[in-house]
Amino acid sequence: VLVNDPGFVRVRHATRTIVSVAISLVCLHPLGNPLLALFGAFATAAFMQANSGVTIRQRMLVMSAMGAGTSLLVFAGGFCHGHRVAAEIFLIVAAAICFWARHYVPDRNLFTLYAFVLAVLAETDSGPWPQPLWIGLVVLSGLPIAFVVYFYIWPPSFPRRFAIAVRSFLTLTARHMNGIVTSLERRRRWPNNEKDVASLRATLAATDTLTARMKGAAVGQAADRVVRLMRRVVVCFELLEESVEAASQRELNDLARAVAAIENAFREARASFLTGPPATEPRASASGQVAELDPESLRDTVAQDFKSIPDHARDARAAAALIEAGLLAARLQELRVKIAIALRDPAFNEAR
Amino acid sequence: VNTLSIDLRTSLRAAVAVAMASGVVHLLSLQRAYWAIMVAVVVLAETWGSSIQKAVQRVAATTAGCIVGWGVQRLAGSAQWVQVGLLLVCIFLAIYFRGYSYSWMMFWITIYVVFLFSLLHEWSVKIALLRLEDTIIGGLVAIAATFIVPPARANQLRTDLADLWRCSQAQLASALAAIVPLDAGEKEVEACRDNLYSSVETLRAHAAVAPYENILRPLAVRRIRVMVEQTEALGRHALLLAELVRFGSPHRLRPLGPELTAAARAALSATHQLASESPADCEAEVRRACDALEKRAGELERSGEIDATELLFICSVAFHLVRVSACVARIVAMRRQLPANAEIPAAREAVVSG
Repeated sequence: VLVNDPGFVRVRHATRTIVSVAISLVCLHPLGNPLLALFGAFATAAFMQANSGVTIRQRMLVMSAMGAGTSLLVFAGGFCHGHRVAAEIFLIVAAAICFWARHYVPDRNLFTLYAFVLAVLAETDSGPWPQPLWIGLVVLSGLPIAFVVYFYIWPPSFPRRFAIAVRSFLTLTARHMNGIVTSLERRRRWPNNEKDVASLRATLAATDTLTARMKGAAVGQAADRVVRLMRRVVVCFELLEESVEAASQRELNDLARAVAAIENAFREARASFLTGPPATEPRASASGQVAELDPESLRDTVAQDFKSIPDHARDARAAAALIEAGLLAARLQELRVKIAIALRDPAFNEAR
Repeated sequence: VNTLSIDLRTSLRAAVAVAMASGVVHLLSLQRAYWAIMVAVVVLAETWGSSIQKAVQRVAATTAGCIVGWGVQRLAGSAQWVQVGLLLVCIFLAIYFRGYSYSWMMFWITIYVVFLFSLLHEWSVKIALLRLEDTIIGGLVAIAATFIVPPARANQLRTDLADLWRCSQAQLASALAAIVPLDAGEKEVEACRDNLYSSVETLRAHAAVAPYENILRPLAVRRIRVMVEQTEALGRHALLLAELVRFGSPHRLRPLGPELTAAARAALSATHQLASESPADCEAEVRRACDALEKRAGELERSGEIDATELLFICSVAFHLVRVSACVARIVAMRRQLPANAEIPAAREAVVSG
């Protein structure tokens, strides 16, 4: 869940959909007709998904249009029940309308197809008059339920969810850095971080989907900036994979001091991802704060250790890879600072 | 993107799919005709590859869902409250996976259908087989409809690859221009770097559909996959070089000037093979130039003319230049082996503008 739904948006939405379905079932149960209850519940769940749009007003309009349109389509479908030619013509037209309606949905989402599915079910399962009317009405009854649950019960604040998603991403990043620190501590081979990168990428993609809900607003621009920085963090891990390949091919014991420096750099970088950006004072770690990494001093430490090894030419690639890793650790910390600054954007705090 | 034209064509395709599905269900006298009609419409997508992908995923998820649902239904017994509870769990999971994984969503919807029929006391293995049969028929009808009203061929992968090649070339040229005298065309570098970071994601998404776009050409699919992997690696090496040169000291590298310039020029001319109609083999040349560069750096470090820091810097640069040329060589080799109508960029599309 942390990887694929870092802002817990999908969990919340699925929970609210279940609540709306349960309300619909409770409301329609007294009718004593399981078919009508089923149509009502399905329609409510479908309308809960019709939430495209940037502003709340736009989302309300989309859901209302979907509710009204679906009810009409379902009524017409039920009306065609038992008339083969009419039913087939109706289904052909309904399929075309549902795909065409997508043109008017802000993000071209295909939830309009739920209307087609409901219409097909109505055409198949509806009985004689007044059953089509009843089915149309119970489908319409799903609209107020979905509307109230979606917009008034535990409504999502996308900027807030976005901030939570970014925090989840930072936690995952710190966790992956921990793997690198541990392997360096034990002088083992570098961990294969392909899986870690894949999970970071999935978290990034899930976070990025939230920016679509804020487009056009100032907070949306701030969110875009954060996503761009997050993308760079993921690429840093990929670059790390490229650079450490050479280091992992050789015993790192020869470069003990260099390895210790890089290990420490990753520890500092991990700390900044867990606790916040580093203090600007150098060597702040002694006072319990995260220290700012200096890529040039890291490079010099590795170079000195490399130089101290007799016949060091054979270790050149491993040492160069360690320098690259150190540069990337510093870069990661720099990106963490930029993410913190971008998240402090006033637009973000106002939206919260 | 002209969404109006896309939506018109998709609407027409959906209408054709329903008409065909209706004809087939009457011809075969299917008991639950609506399943086939529904599937024929809902698996339709904007491109040929996406439609096939959705149809395949739907059939696979329905099969798995029927088997798992049947097993769970047997374990759960006939207690109504357990079945209602499981129905709600299935709805929750289907909604959770909606928009994230079509296969998982369909898997949970199928289990939901199993419990729905079980609640109505209609569930049997026969129903499962009927659903599976109708799903396959619906999927086939959808694919047939895409033949009759053909969607646009997906060309995003082509655009992404060409973009990434151009950006990698520009990024590499600008990185090398920081340490050797080269003309890099500075104006596009920042935009290119941003593009390099973001294009990898879209490239992966579009590459995932590529096997379905070329479903009848398995060999081409493998080659396209290699091209995508190598293109990503090329971009990464270019970015890493850009990071490295930020900390390089060009004045301290002066004793290595001729060797460094030769290696940089060889690597750049290797990347130009991406835009060449008749590419030459530049990988060996880059390797030779980089070997000479590393050898010379080693000599100078031993004689004390350059420091260990510069030696290690050169070692990194040479390593990545060799990797860049290897990536380009593989991309060019794969492109040469692909048929002319494969959805990959031609050489002329990889020319760096300006």
